[in-house]
Order: sequence, then C-alpha cells, then structure tokens
Amino acid sequence: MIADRLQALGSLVIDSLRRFGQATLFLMRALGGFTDMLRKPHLLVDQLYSVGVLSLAIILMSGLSVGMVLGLQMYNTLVDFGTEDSLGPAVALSLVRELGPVLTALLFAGRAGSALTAEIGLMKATEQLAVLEMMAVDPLRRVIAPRLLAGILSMPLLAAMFSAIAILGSYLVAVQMLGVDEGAFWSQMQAKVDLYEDVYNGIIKSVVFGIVVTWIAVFEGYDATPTTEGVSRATTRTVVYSAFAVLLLDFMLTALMFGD
Amino acid sequence: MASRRSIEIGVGIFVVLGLAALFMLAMRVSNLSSVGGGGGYELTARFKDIGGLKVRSPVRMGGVLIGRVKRIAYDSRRYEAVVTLTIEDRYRNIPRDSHANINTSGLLGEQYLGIVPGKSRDYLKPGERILRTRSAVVLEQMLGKLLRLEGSVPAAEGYELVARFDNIGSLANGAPVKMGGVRIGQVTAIEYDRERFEAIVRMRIDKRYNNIPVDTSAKIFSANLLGNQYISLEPGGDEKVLKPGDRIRLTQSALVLEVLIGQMLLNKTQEGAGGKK
Repeated sequence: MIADRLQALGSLVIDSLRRFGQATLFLMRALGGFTDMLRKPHLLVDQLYSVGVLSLAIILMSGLSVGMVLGLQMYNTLVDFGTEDSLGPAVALSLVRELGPVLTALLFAGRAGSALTAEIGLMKATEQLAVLEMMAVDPLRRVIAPRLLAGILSMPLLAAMFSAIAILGSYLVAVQMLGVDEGAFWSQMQAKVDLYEDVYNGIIKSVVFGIVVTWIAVFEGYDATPTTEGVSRATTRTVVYSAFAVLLLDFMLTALMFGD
Repeated sequence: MASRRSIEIGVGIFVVLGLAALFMLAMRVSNLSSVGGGGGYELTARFKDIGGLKVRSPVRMGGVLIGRVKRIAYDSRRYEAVVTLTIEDRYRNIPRDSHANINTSGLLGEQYLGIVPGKSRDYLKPGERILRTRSAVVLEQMLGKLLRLEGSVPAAEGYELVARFDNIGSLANGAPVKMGGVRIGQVTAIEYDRERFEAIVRMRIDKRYNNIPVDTSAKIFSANLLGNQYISLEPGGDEKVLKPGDRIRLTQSALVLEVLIGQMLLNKTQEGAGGKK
C-alpha cells in the first residue's frame, strides 16, 4: 500500500523532471533558430501581429479598468487620513512593480499563450509539422522560434502599456472625478518611483514572465497528444501552468529585487 | 487573415505604443527627469543617530532638493554614523559653518537631511565634512523625556482607590494613572453601576505615593490627538490623605470629541440667533 503510494510519487517526480528536461532541450534548440529571423523578418512580424497586436485590446481594457478601480479604492481609504496626495505613488508603485507585469502575464497566457498552444497542437495533429520535417525544414526553427521571440518581445511592451494606461485610468478617476490635486498626484509619483529600482525591475519581471509563459505555451503545443482531446488538454495546461509559474516567479523575483 | 500591409502597420503601431508607454513610465512616472544620476560633488557628515535616513534620501536646503544621500557607513571606533551626500554641482556655495540636521517631513513622513546654511564666506569643498550636525530625534526617546516614564508599576505593591465617572471614553484596563504627568499607577478594573448609571473605575496606586489629598480630582485625558486615554490626578490642598479603598469624589469625565464639537456648534448657533434679535 505504502510502497504503491511511494511509487506513484516517484514516477510523478521522474516524469516531471523528464518533461522539464525535454522542455529545456526544446528551448535550447528553438533559441538556435533566432538567427534565422534576421534573414526572414516577416516570420517574426507575422507572429508579433498575432501574439502582440491581437492582445492589445484586452490588455488596454484591463489596464484601464484596473487603474480606475485602484484609484477609486485607494482614494476611499486614503481620504480618511487626509493623505490622498500619496495616491499617485501608491498606484504607480503597485502597478509598475507588481500588477503591471503579473496581470499582463496572466492575461497574456490566457489570450496569446492558449492560442499558441492550440495552433501548434493542431499543426501537430494535422501533421503539418511532420510535413515540414519531410521537406527538410526544422519546425523548431521555422514554427517555434518566431513565436517564442515574438512572445518575449511583446510581453514587456504589453506590460508597459498596461501600467501606463492604468496610471492614466487612476489619474482620470482620482484627479478628474474625485478631485485629488493634479500637481501632487504627479510630483509625489515622480518623487517616490525610481527609474532603476522600480521601472527597470518591473521590465525585467515582464521579460522573465514573457519567456516563461511563451515557453510553456509553445512546448505544451509541441508536446500535445495529436488528438482533439490532447490539444484541448494542452491548452488548459498552458493557462494553468503559466499562472502558477508567473505567481511563483513573481514572489521569488520580488524577494530578490525589493527584499533588501 | 489580414493583408500583409495591415499586419505590418499593426505591428508598427504596437511597437510605437509600447515604446511610448515605456517612455511615459520613465519620464512622467519615475524620477528620471528631476535628478540626474551623474553630476554632483560629495560631502560627508557624522551623526550619533541617523534615525530612519536611507541611501537616496533627499538632502534639502531651505526645503529645496539639492542632492541625495549616497552612502551610509558606521564608524565602529567612534560610534558614529558616517553619511556621504551627493550635492548637485549648481549648489557649490554651502558655507563652511552650515548645520546638517536630520528632519522628518510632516508628522509621519520620510526623513531627510536638512542643511541650514551658516554665515561664513568660506565654502565647503568637495569631499569635506560638515562639522555641525544634529542627530535624528527618536520619537520614543523624546516621549520618554517628556513623560519621564519609569516603567510599569508593579501591581502587587500599592493600594487601591476608586473613582466614579459619568463617561470614561475609551479608558481601558491597564491605562496609566498620572499625577503631574508622572505615572503613579494603573487602572485595574472598570465596572458599570447599573443603579446610578455611572462607571466605577478601580485603580492601583504605587505605595510610594501615599500622600494624595482627599480633595484630589480625577480627570480623564488623552495622551495626544491619537493616543490612549489616561487618568490624571490633580492634588488638592487638604491635609487629610486618601486611604486605601477610598473614593475620589471630584471627577471629570472623558471629553468625547463629538459632544465637544456639538456644544461648540450649539453655542455658535445660539449666539447667531441672539445676534439676529
């Protein structure tokens, strides 16, 4: 009985390690394909369009609403202490350091990551990947590498847009509607938010999240069981694993960057 | 699928928007535009206690930001904190006899290093030390001096007094009992007299203070605007002293802010009404 349990646990660990190893080798081979993009930039442009541009709407809408809600709620708390002037820095810091990169990564996993997994999984199910190999074209260089690079490049840009539009949203609510002083809003923000400490670290976070989410998405697609059910499972796994990875990494990165 | 041209336009817009957002975060949200990182010269100052001063804390003269704290080290031989400041090159003319103080902006704000210029025509050169400094005021030390706290009074050694109040405000068990600002005991029990609609407060007074006159009055005060409430005893002139278990007859209840403001407003309106007549 106990031996069975232990065996189940052991096989789970070994399986996870094997998958992680496969995923790492897969990433290394795909990274080798990045140089091809210099010769065929249109491959990258197409993927930037489907990964980045098509995610714009959801990122901007979510950013705006998150910013407006943050502004409103912080105002309600801060006004009790007469410190609504520090609303600007509070909103900006929480967005630039945490909410911007993390929420963008979660939305990105849901919007672009799942689409990547489904697309690659279906390519595998309909044997398009096998056909590429028959034509002596490495699918890792031709299909995976551009998607990976597009994800890594898009994430920081999307996160920056999320933070920027969220700050504008909180500005709209706090300054235009609730009457926080405009000068105090911006000047306190500039006094408290540090370019290197806060903005750069936020960008580093979003780059890391971009790598991890896109990596999970393309690997799950490439590794999917080539059936309808397999693709649907892989898509679900992409979103779940990405969310876990992003939240866990966010804690670790925050501890490293701001933990003093 | 959209046409080649619209894909490329879309990607172009995407990249431009992304870069614009990064630019906004750098210029509008963070402090890149206000203080440049590179320029400036260094000064040092030594303090006994720097309180909550940190690296990158502001350095102000006349309230204007003229630099930032660059480095904080501790001299373990002289038991002093050594603070290195970077001052912007524009502000070269800081007199040699200037004072460096550690101040707090606002009641709850962050600490900064304030420079009060002296009268000397001789200016501090890069790398030199500001000789006159005043350390941070640590709130606990200041309060300690103010209240001359002597630690808590042991409950066992002492005697009990009783007082009745109409309203005890937010007085709690364990609240201090003070005379002349000095802590002489603490509240041990609070009950409510259901027949006379009064609060009965029992307090234990340190046995050293056994000469409290019988016509002493007990008042409920607040330590400060936000602080805890305590009982203040104001001694009378009688020669007879209170014995253990006695009751303090003269009491003044806690001032409830709302009631106080209500009275003020009421007086105002009455005066206003009187003026019209």
